[in-house]
Amino acid sequence: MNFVTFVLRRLGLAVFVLLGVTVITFTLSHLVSSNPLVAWLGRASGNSQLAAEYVQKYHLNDPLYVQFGYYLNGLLHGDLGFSVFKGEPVSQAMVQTLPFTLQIAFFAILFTLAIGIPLGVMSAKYHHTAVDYGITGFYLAGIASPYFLLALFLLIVFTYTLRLLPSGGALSPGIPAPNPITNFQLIDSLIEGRWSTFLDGLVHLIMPSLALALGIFGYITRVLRASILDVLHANYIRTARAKGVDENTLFFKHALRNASISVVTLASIVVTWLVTGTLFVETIFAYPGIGQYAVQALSNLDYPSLLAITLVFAVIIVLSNLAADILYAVVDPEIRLR
Amino acid sequence: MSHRDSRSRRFLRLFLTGNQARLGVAIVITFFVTALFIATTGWAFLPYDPIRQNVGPVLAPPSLQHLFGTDNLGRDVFSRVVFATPNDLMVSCIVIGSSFMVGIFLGCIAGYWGGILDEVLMRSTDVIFAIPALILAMSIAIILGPGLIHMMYALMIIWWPPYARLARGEALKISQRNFIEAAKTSGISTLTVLRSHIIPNILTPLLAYATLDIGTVVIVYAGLSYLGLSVQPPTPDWGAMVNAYQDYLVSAPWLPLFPAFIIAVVVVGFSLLGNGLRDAVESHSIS
Amino acid sequence: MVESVLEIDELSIDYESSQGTVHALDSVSLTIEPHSLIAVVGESGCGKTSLGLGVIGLLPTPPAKNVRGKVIYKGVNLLELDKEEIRAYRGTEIAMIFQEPITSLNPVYKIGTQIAEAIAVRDSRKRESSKHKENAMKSRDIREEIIASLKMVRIPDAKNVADRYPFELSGGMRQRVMIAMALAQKPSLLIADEPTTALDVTTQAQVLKLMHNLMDEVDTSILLITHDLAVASQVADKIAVMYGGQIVEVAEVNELFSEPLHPYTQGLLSCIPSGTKKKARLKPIQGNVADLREIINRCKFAPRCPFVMDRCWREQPVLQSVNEKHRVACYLHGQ
Repeated sequence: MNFVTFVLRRLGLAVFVLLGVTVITFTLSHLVSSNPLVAWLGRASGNSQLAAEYVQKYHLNDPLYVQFGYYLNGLLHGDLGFSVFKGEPVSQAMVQTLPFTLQIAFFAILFTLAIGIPLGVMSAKYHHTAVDYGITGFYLAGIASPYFLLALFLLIVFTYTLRLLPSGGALSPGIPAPNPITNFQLIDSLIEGRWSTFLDGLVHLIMPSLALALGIFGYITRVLRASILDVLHANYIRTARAKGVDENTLFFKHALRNASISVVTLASIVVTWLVTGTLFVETIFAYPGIGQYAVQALSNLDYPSLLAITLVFAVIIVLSNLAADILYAVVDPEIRLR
Repeated sequence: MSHRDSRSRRFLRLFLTGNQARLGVAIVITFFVTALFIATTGWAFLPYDPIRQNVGPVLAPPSLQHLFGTDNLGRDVFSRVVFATPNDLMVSCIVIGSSFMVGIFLGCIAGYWGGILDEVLMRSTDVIFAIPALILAMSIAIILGPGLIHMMYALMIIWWPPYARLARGEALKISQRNFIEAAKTSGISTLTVLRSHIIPNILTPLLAYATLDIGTVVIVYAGLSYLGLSVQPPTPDWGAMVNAYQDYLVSAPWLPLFPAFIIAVVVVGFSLLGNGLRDAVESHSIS
Repeated sequence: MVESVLEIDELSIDYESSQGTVHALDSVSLTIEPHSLIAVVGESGCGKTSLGLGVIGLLPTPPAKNVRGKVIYKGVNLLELDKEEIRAYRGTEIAMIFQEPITSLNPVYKIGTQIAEAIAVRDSRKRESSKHKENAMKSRDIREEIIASLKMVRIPDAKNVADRYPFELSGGMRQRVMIAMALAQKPSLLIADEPTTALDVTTQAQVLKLMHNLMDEVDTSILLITHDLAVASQVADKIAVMYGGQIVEVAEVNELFSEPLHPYTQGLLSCIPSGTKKKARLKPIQGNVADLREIINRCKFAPRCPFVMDRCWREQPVLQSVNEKHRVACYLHGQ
C-alpha cells in the first residue's frame, strides 16, 4: 500500500466517523424534546413564522430517516440552526468565535511543544537525578490540575500580583479592533498594519494559551523521556557509535528522530484536552472564542448552539487525528510503506 | 520469604515498596476514608455544618478556627470541601467500574469472535472518540437535566470505549495463542474459555489503565460541576465551589483555590497509585 | 616480520553484577596480522564479546570496570585514550559489526543515507588531518561510493537497495549492508561479533563466503567472534579458542583441526557433526561453563577436563608455543 492509498483510506474513515457523529447529534436533538423544532430553534420555536419555515425546510413532519437526510443536507449547506440568545444563526456566531479559539489553540500548541520537548529531552539526559524528579513533579502537577486551576493560578500570579498581563478579553479597552477580513484578529491587524492591535492581541493570548499548555505538556515530556531512554539502548545507536559518529549527532539525528515518532501518537489526547479546556479558559479570561460561546449557550439552554458546537468540536478532532495519522506516516517509513 | 507466598502477595509487596505507590496509596486511602465517614455520618465529624451560614465572619482568611477560611455567606470552607469528597469519588469509581465491566464484556465478544461484531465495535468507538468526553456529557446533561446522579449516568454512557478497545485488543492477542486453540479443541464451552482463560489475562492491563483513568473522570466531573451541571447550591461540590467563588479570586483567593487544589491532589494521588501499579506489573512480569 | 595490525596484551576486564564482580577477560593476549582473518571461538559467557567491545572502546562502563592491559594499534595503546580520542579511531581505523542486523540499522533512514554517513565521517576526518585545504566530497561522488560498496558485498540491484529502508530487506541483505557500511570507511581492522548467528544456515554460508572473498579484495583484517567452530573453520586463517575469559589455544586453522591440543578444543571438535565417521556419536563436553566470579589459581577447565592432573588444580597454565604456528595453555603439552 502506498502513501496515497493510505491517505485515502484514512480520509474515508474520517468521513464515516463524522457521519456517525451527525447521527449522534441528530439523535440528541430529538431526545432534547419531543418537539423537533426545539433542536433547531430552541426557545424561538414559539415564533410561528420561523417555525413554519423550519418545518417546511427540514420536513420535520416526516419520518425520522427523511428528517435525517434533510438534517445532513442542511449541515452541508452551513445551516446549523438559529441561536436565540445571540439573535443570529449559529453558523454566523461560529464564524465570529471560532477564529479566536483557533488563535488560542495555535499558541497553546506552540507553548506545549516549547515546554514539553526540551523538558522531555532534559529529563531523559539527566534521568534519575534531581533534575529528572523535579521535572516529573512539575508536569504531574500540570496534568493533574483541573482545567480551571491553571487559569486561576496564572491570573493570580501574572495579573494580580505581578501586574504584568491583562485579566482578560481579546483586546485592551481603547485599542481599535481590526476590520474583519479573515475574522482572525491577529491576521487582520497585520494585514491592516495595526501594530498596536496586533501586539495587544498577542499579549492577551499569552495566559489563556499558557493555561492550556501547562495542563497538557506533561504528556509530551513523559512520552519523550521514555522514548528517548528506550531508543538510546537500541542496537542501531551502537552501530552509529561504531561508525565513529559524535555524541551530538547521535542524539539529535539518530535518537531523537526515532523517539519523536511516539510523540505524534499523543496528538489525539492533546487536541481533545485543548478543545475541552477552551470552555473553561475562555470563560475565566473572558476570551470571545467558541468555548465561551458554548458555556453561554449552556446557561441559556440554547440547544441548537450546543449541538452545533458538539459537531464542530468533533470535526476539529477528526481532522486533527487525520493530520496526525498522516504526519505519523511521514515520520515512520514502516507505516507508510507496509 | 516462604514458598507458600502466593503470587498476589509477592506482587503486593513489590507494589508497596515503590515510593510513588506509597504516596499514592496514602493519598487515595485518606480521601476514601474521609468519603466513607461523610457518607455514613454526614457532617458529624466536621467542625461546622457545611450549609450553615454565618458560623464565622464573612470572607475570613484561613485560621485555626477555619482552616480554609470562610466564604461570602460566612460558611466554613473546610467543612464544605471535606463534605463534598464523596461526590467526586463516588462518581469516578462508579463510572470507572461500569466502564470497566461494559468494556470487558463488549471487548471480549469483539476480540474473541471477530468479524462483523468486531467491526461494529471498532467503528462505534471511533465515533464516540471523536467527541470530547466533557462535551458529550454536557450534551447528554441538558437532556437529562442537572444533578449528581444524572451526571453520573451521562458519564457512564460515554466512558466505556477505551476499555472496550483495550479489552478487545488483549482478547484478540490471547485468542490467537495456542493454548486457546487447545482449550477449544478439547471441547470446553466458549463461556468457560472466556471466563477462565481470556478474562484473567486481560484484567491486568485494564486495571492499570483504570487506575490512571480515575483521575481523568475526576477532572471531567469537576469541569461539569464547575459548569453548574451537577449538584445545585447550597450543596457543596468542588467544581461548583470554584465557580461560585471565582469572583473572589482577588479579595479572598483561598476561596476558589482550595477546592481546585484539592481536586488536583486527588488526581495526583490516583496518578501515583496508577504509576506505581504499572511499574510493579512490569517488574513482576519480568521476574 | 610484518608489523601487526593489532596487538592485545594481557587485556583484563571486570564487570559489576548483582552477584559480585565477574572477571570477563583474564589476561588475554592476541596478535592480529595484516590482511588476515582471525577467529575467536568460545561458548557464550566466555568473554569474547567483551574482547571485541574492549578493543573498539564501546564497553559500557558501568558495569564494566577495571580495564587493564594494553591494546596496541599502530603504535598507540587505545586503552589510554579518552572518549573523544578513541572515537577518532572508530569506523575509519577499527570498525565493528554486530549480531542482529535487524535492529542494528536505523529504521527511519534509507540504506544509502546510513552508508553516506559512514563515508562522510571518513571524509571529514581525512580533511581534518590533511595539510591542504580540501573540499568535502560531492554528493554525486558519495552516491557512487555507496553503490560501489553495495556491489562489493554482492548485493543485486545496488541502486535500488540504496533507496530502501532497512525493514524492506532480508536478514542476509542487511548484514551485507552492515559489512558494506563498515568497509566503506576503509578500516584496517573489522571486528565482526557473531555476524551470522541470527541468520539461517544458507544465508550464513553466503555471508561467510562473502567475507572470505573480501579478504582478497580489501586491505582489512578481520577479527571474527563466534561460538561456532564450524563457522570459524570456513573463513579463518588463525583460530583462538577462549574459555573462562582466557585464551587456551591459538593456532593456524589447519593445524588446529589436525592437531587440537587443548582438551577443550578437542571437546569442541567432537561436537561438530562431521558426517565422515559412521555411527559416531556427538560427544558433548561434560559439566558447566566456568564461573567467572572466582579468582582462582588453577586451570579453569580442570573440573571438566577428562585428562586433568594434580598440577592443573594448583597452578594456572600459561599460553606457550608448541611450534611456530601453535600455542596452547595446558600442562599436557610441555611446561
